[in-house]
Amino acid sequence: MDPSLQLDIALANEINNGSRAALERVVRRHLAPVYGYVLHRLGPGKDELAARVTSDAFDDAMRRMRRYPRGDRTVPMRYWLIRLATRRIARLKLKTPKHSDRVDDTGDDLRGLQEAVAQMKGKQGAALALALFGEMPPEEISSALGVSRKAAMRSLRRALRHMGKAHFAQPEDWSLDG
Amino acid sequence: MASLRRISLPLKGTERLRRAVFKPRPPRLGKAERKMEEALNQLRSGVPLNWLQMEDDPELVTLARLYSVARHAPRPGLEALPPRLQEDTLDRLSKRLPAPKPQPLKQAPTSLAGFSENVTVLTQAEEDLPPLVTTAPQMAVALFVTTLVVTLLAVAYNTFFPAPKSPYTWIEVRENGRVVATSNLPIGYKAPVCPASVVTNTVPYVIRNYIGAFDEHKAQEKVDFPIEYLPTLMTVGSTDYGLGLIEAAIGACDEFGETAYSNVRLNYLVTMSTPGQRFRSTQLYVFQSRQQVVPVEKTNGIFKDVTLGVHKGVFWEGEFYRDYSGVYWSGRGTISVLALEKGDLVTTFVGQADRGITEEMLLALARKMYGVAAPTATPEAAVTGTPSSNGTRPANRRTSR
Repeated sequence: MDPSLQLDIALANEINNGSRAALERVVRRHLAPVYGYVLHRLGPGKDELAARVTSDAFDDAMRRMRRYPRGDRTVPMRYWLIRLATRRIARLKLKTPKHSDRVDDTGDDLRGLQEAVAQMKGKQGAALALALFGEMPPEEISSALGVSRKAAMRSLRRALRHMGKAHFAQPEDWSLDG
Repeated sequence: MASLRRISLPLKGTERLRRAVFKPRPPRLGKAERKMEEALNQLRSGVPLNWLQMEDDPELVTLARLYSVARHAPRPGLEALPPRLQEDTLDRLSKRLPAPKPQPLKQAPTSLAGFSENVTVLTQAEEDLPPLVTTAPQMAVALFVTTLVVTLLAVAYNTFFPAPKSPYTWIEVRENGRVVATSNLPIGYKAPVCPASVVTNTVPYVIRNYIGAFDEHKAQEKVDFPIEYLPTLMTVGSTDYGLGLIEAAIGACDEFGETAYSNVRLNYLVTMSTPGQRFRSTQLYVFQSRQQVVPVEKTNGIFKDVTLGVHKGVFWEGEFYRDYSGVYWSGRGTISVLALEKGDLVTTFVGQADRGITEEMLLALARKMYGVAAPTATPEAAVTGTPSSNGTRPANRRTSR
């Protein structure tokens, strides 16, 4: 078994036995990545909301900690937390802002890209955020989404198609010279 | 009817048995999904998509463009979290912690069945009486004499058959997992260990844990020796090499890189262009460590000692290698390893020989890195151990299978 997964299961068992030290370790290990993911899903400038959603996701995890180790189907705790955070985000009733302007690949329009990713709903948005900002490989994206690799790649492809149509509308934008 | 119903109804545990025997297969990837996976993996390893991949696939064009924008996004660490988020989350979760389980108490032993303390049992006469004369002095003398004889034999063996001394201080040459030459470690040297506060007792800890995503400056702040980076361009024969740093990772005891020790791993993307041949690329790993023993296994491959100016070390080429971070290199063709030491610093290069990281390339790279002039002799002469004018002398070519 992967040592990281082994550590996650051991920490979960210790938390279930009432160990505060194990809880501290879990929070230190996973708070920053989960917060980063939530921030990218909600969009720039929503730091407070992202903090609340992250905290709620950890709270959900704490309530379900006894059900975390699931034999062969146990996923690393970070992806489990990302799944819980994704559910929390889906429950939020956010106003959809206007479409941002075109995404430029000069590096100046990072904010535009973050807003565009934040506007995407469901698994497509989650897949795009994990692939672009989390720099996750395909198998980790599927674990974090809780779907098969095929479904994860399909969601990512759909999200990219949508992004391409919305932000690179002109065919000439697809050329490499542009 | 009742028996029919019993047969048709699912028996207890049937579902579990069905799942165990007929595990649902993951759906096979289609061509489009496989292309997307490959593109994602390629971008993650730092290699941009080429036009042939993106042709007639607008989603991959979009992915390539968005990836180039997204790589400027900051990666929030613990320091980037909103103030008090960590403490507040911890306080909130602590309230949900279950009460620690009480330690199970040992039950007082119960008396055996049929035994009552009210009945007086008279002392029985023992049949096996201990000897009245003690043999302790004789035993002590015998133990002393045995120890003396064993010590004298060991001293005599070491005098007549001394273990071969290694020419290296930190590089430890091994054969089939056994150390074949004693290294010259400083007296009183102790291998660095992780502090007990970051090692849990419940999980076996991987000592050589590398934390990546550091740039050059941050990596340098974490280690206590100057990191030596590779040159960005190099030409060997008719091949031009470009070396781009993908990632600098530090050896650390914890997941956050806060308790680092003197070890760094650099991951380079090496691009090769030779006139008349296809453009090639591969990866090269460079490990640098200070005051740490670096084992090199010489079994199943070509092994030779190498001297480059003031640097000395070993070159090994074979098909199975375990690198310093514990990763097994197998099934990747021929692996080349060059380990060089100077003072208390050891640099180890690991790459794939059949992908272009050959002995000639590694030696040329090390020469350029350390400012050692190229040899005037031909490579064939160097391989056979002919000393060159500048002191570069790969010698003692041996093959052990």
